[in-house]
This record gives sequence, C-alpha cells and structure tokens, in this order.
Amino acid sequence: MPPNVVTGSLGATSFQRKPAALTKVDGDAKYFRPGRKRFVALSGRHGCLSLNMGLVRDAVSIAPAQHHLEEEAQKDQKLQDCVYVFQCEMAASVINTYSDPTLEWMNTPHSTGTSIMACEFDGGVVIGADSRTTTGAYIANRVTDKLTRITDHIYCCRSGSAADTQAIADIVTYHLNFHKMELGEPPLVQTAAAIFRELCYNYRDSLVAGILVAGWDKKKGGQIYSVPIGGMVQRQAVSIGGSGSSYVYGYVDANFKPNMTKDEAVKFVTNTLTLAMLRDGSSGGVVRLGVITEAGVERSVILGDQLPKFYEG
Amino acid sequence: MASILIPELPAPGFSFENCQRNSFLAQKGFPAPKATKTGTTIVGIIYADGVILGADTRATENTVVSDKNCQKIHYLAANMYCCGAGTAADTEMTTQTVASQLELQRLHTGRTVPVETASTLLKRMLFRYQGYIGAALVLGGVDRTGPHIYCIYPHGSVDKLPYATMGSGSLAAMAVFESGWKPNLSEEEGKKLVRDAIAAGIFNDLGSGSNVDLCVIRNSGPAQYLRTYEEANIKGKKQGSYRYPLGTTAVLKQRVIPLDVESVSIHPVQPMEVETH
Repeated sequence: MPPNVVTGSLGATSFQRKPAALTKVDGDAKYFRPGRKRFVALSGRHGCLSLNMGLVRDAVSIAPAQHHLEEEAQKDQKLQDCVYVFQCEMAASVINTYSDPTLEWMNTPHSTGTSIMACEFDGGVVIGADSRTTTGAYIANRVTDKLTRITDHIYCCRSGSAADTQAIADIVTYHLNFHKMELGEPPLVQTAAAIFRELCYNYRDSLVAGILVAGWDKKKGGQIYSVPIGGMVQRQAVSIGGSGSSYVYGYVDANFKPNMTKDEAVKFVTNTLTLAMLRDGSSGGVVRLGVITEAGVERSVILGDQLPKFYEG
Repeated sequence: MASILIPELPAPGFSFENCQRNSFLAQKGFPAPKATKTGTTIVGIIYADGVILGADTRATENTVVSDKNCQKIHYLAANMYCCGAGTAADTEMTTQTVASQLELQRLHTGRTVPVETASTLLKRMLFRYQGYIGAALVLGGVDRTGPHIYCIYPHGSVDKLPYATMGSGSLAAMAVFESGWKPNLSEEEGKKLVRDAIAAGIFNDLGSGSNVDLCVIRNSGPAQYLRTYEEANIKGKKQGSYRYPLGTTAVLKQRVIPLDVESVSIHPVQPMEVETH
C-alpha cells in the first residue's frame, strides 16, 4: 500500500505561494513544478522524508489537490494518517514532465542509480564506482564511467541525475581550469569541493546530484570531500554514496582502518562496491577504480567475472 | 548590438512564463495540442572504417501514423549525422540549430569540426531546457581522432558508446546489437547488423515502422546517406475492385446545358520594373 500523499496549502501564512493545480496520473509521481518550493504530506508510515532520490520517487504518489486540508482531515478518517507535513524542495529533474505511460523511458530522467566510494590511504586516495546508468527500469548504459576528471589530481564520483552531474562537473572543470591559470600552480582539492558546493547548494532546488570530490594536493595530501544532495561539504577519510551505499554502511564501518596501504585500500573499495552491486538493483556492471597520488592517477577496470566472490545463496 | 564576433547571449535558464498559463488552460478543458512524436527506432554503431547510423521512417501522432516515410537521420556536418527520436519538431529544429553553429565554427577555424563539439553543443542546449525539448539523439561521426557514437538524452546527459540505440524500439534493437556486435565489423556486416536492428524495432514496436534508412560515414571519403536502404513494409495490393464498368446502371434521361459566354476581355500584363545589374 503506497503511503497516502497529498499536497495542499496548510495555512497561507507559512507558505508564500499556493501550489499550481495537479494532474493525477496513475502510478508514479508525475507532477511538475519547476524549481519552486512545494510540499508533500506523508503518512505516518514514512515518518522521515529522505531526499535520497530513489526513495522519494518510489514513495510519492499524488492525489488531486485539496485545499483547506485541515477541514478535509477532520472529515476523512484516512487523511488523519497524514500526520507529518514536510516542506520539501523537489528537484525538477526528479519529477516526470510528460505523463504518457507508453513512453516511460523518455519521461524518466536518466539517473546514475549508483554505488560510489572514495577511501584515503597512506599517500593518496582510491576512488571507485559501478558502471550502470538507468532510465527507469532500462539500463541505458552498462559501461558508464562515473569517475570524472576535474584536474589531473582531482576526480569526482557522480551519483544522482546524469544530466545534472555531467553539467556540474563541466562547469567546475572550467572554473578550476581558469583558477589554476590565475594561481599558477595546481589547485587544492578543497577549492574544487568549494566550487561544487557553490553550485550544488545555490541550485539545490533544481538539481539532484550527490558527488564525492577526491584528489591529492601538496598542502594536505589525499583528501575526500563529500557533497551530497542539498549541497553540504564534509571532509571524510572514507565516504560512500549513491543508492547502493545504503547496503554497505555496516561493512565500511566494520572494515575501514586509517593509514592503509594502497593495495589494502584498493581491495577494500573493490569489496565494498561488489557487495553494494550485488544488493542494489540500480548498481551493477563493472567496477571502475582510480588511484590518485602525487604522481597522478592510475585508472583500472575490474570486469564482472573478476569481481570478488561473496555468498549469494 | 550583436555581431558575428560578439553574438548576443540568450538569457540564461529556461523561461517558465507560459507554464502557469498552460496549466490553467488545461484545467479549463483546453489541453495542449498533441505533438507529433517519432515513435522510433534509431541506432548507431562503430565499425572497422567509421560509423553506420540507422533509423526507421514512421512518425506518429499518438496512435495514428502521420508520416509513413519521414527522414530521421539529420545532417549536421559533412563528417557527422544525427538520428533523432522524440518530438519530431524538437529533433528537427535542434539539429538544424546545431548544424548552423557547426558550420560557423568550421568557417572560423578552417578545420573539420570534431564530433565532441557537436555533442557538447547539443547537451548544453538540452540541459538548459531541462528536458522540455523532447529530443533523444544518436550522434555519429568521424573526425581526426577517429569514429565516435554519442547517445544524447532529452535532459542533457551524454553517453559515449561503441553501439547505441534510442527510441521506443531501442530495446528490440539493443537485443540485436548485444548478440551481434563485435569490434572491427566489415562494412557489409555492419550494414546488415544495423538493418537487422532497425527491422527488429519495426516489426516488434508499434511506434516504429515503414522503411529502413542507413547512413554510412567512413573515416575518409564523403558520407553516404542511403535513403530507403530497404522497404521493409510494402503496402499490399488490393485484392478486390469497387470500379463498376460503364453501363452497369441504365441512363434514363440526358440534358446538356451550355454555359453562355457573356463577354471576353484580354488584359496584357506589364512586367514589373526591376533593376538589373
């Protein structure tokens, strides 16, 4: 039973604008409202709204707009279930714009379902990602490269909407290139993370992008900065992201050790990503790896049959 | 003042001016007119000597075929062509706009434009419009770095692949590629593979049909646009005839009324005075 979701205005004082009329469509959320605040009420079962893209899209189904929600709620017993109301900034790229069910593949935004990871070791960082890009339930690209070069020593792992993250990475590459020329020396990883944050935070209404910025610089060595959806920045020694990351938090917490060697770190990342790919439907394909040190980056791929074997029943 | 060297940059971002009006009209019972979509199967592969693009030729308006033989492979430059799926107007206009931008670049730089440039121009434009331009494209071409195939989605993301399919028939066509594609196919093998993939789309997808168009772009030499490479769906011959021979119905009465000519006047036409150099 999908949760009862209703959108409506709750007290004109709290919100500045009334929502536009909704069209109810069968099945998934198909309501467009570009870049403005809108609100959803979720039933008690989904008490906490997580802005993980997969969760929001699956959990939300829209009923026709109802004004004067409180009066309705009094009358209708079922609506009293809708206890929690959240003001939720919905990224336009998450919500489908056309409502023709036969062209599902065209309506669904091209998303990198994803498992991505970055891990510090003694002398640099190891980054890794799966290789699956999905459009709804179809795998549009089974050999995607989600590890995008920003500079020779700074890479980013992309998760979320493919279009958004590709565009953001392009813009950051441009800015950092310009900055490098002005500075006269290779830019800091912290600077790259700051530029990512500027874009991801200021446009958080319209973007769905979860990014791991990882690299090496002279000042602080190997660093990883996590820039999740919403646009915060957090430096971490090990970081995971994407829809597949939910399944491997326990493994990462149990197995990460600071100051690993390069080979230990590579093995750790490979194992984690393999486990995530085994459990997450939106992740799969091959494991792409990158090792970033003072010398630059070494890219490698681990094909499906060479992945480590785990219990599969 | 805009000039060639300093073109007027359009205001950034998508203009949402009409969205409120459109939703209001839809609410009042005046929904937006249906766009012609190109249901479509479009494909592209890299083979030994370049790229081969293929497309079907059916354009649909919901469930009615609006064009039985439309052209879905669009010219971008001498060394690149682009197949378009999605809204017919969007693919047509987007490719024309980018084709003109590429020609200007070719004239400014004096070099063949790399395929990556076309891919970047297309994806930047589509991302700006946040998916409202319903154009899903398979861009294929050859430049000094070799042959390339790019898959460009309406929201502005790009995948660079050795073989790609898009459109409603993409799943059927991809099945053919996944079992049949290998690196360094010969031209004959490549054309057959592409033809098979489009045929799979034509016969298994309702949104695709009619004929198969191919476009072969070789590493050296001009591109070869094979319009109607194969007529997969020939209209059947009518089995019966509704024509009745003269005399089937008897003529009872006949009356001829001549038209009276009242007057005839002739006016000679003076050609317009135009300056001739």
